[in-house]
Amino acid sequence: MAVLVRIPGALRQFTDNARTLEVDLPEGSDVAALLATLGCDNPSLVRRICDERGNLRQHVNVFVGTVNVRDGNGLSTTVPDGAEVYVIPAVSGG
Amino acid sequence: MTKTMVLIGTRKGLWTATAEDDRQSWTVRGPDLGLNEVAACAIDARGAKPRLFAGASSSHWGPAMSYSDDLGATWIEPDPAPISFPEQTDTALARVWQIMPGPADQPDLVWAGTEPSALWRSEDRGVSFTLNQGLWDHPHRKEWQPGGGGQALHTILPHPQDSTQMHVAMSTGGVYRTTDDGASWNPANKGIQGSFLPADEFPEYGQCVHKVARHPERPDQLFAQNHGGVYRSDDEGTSWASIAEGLPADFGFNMVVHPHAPGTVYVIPLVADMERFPPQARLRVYRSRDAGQSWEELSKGLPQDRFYATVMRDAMCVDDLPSTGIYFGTRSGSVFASADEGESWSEIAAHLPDVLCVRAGRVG
Repeated sequence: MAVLVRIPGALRQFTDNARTLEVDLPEGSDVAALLATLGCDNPSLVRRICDERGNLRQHVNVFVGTVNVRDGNGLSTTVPDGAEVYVIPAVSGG
Repeated sequence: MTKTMVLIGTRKGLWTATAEDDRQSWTVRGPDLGLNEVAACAIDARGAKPRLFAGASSSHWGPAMSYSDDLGATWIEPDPAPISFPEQTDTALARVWQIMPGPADQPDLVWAGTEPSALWRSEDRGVSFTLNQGLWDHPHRKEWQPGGGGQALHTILPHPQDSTQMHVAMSTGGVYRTTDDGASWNPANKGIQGSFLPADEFPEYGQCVHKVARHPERPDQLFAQNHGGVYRSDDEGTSWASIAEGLPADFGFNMVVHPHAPGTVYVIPLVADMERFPPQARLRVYRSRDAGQSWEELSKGLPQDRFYATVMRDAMCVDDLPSTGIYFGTRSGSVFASADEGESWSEIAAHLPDVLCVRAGRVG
C-alpha cells in the first residue's frame, strides 16, 4: 500500500527539499513500521523524529490523517492504505 | 602568516572568528547549524586538513554530531549517528558536552562526553563512537545526579604519557580515574567539598566539579574549579587541596591551564552558587603563575561596570600558537580574546546568543 508523508520545512534539508515522500508499506503497517522504512533510506530524517530507543521526540507530533498518534496507539497506530501522515513540530521556543 | 580560528558555540548556532594577522583583527562568520544549541565544539589540527567538530542539539529534533573538513563551509552529519546509545542501555542521547581529539600519534582517536554521563571513543576521527562500558556500568551511576545543566560528562583528560590512564569529570558525580584503559574507574575526589550536600560534605563521590585541567608536562598535577571551591591535586587526583585563597570568590565554571607554562592557570570567579555574577559586577580573569598559591587580577579591556553575565564551563580556552592566546565567551554573547597571556583583552565578537563553548587553534 502507498502512504504519503508530509515533511515540515525544518526537515526538508534531509529530503532534498521534498515536501512529501511516498512510502510503500505492507497492508496493516503501523507508524513504527513506516518510520523504520523511511529510516532505511533516510536515517538522518528519522532520528529527528524518534530517538535511538524508538521513542517519539517530546516536541514532535505525528498525525495519521487527523489523529495525533499520541492520542491513539502511539507508534503502534495503524496506517491505512492511502493515508497522509504529517510530521509536525510543536510550536515552542524563543 | 598563521591562520587562527575561534569556534563559538552558542544557544542558537555556531559562529567562527578567523584572524590571519597574528590575532589582531577578526572576521566573524555565522551562524552555522541553524538554531541548534552547540554545547561542544573542537578543532582537530592533527590531520592533513583541520577537522572541526560540533555537538549540536535541537529542542525539537534532538542531538546530533557533525564535522567539517572545510573550516565550516559545509558540515557533515555521518550516518548512522556517530553517538547512539546501545539498545541494551535503554537510554537516549540528550546532548554532546565534550569533544576531545586524542594525541598527535593517534590521529584518528577522538573522545566525547555526553549527557547522560557517558564516555565515548572514536577510532575513525569522529565518524563513529563506542560507549565506554566500564564507566557506564559503574555501580555509582545510580547515585549520580543532574546538576543545573544536566547529568553530563563534561571533562575528558587523557594522560599525556600513558594511554591506559584517564580522568573524567561529571556533574554531579565528581572526578573519576581509570588506570586500565577504561575497564574500571575509581572516584578521585578526596578533599573536594560538596558544600551543597545535606550531610557528608567530603563524600567519596557526588561532588559537582565544574572543570578540571592539567598541563601535559605535569601529568601528576590537576586543577579543578568546583561548584564552590578551587582545588589542586599533586598526586593525579588521589587528594585535593584548596587553592582558593587570593580569589574574590571560589565559585565559577572555568579552569584553563597555560599550554606552555606548567603551573599557570586561569579562572573567572563568580560570587556564589546563589549569586552567579562577577564580583562587584566587574568581569575579571584571575591568573596564577605558581599553581594556585597566589592570584592576580586581569581586567584590562574587560567591562568593569554593571556586568552580570557568566562564562560557562567550556566557554574559555587557549590556542596552540607559540605565543598563547586566551579566549572566553559570555552568556551575553560577547567573545573576548587576549594575545598577551591575559594582560589585555579585546572583544572579537559581540551580540551573539549565549556563548556555551569556545575553542581556538591554528587552521592554516
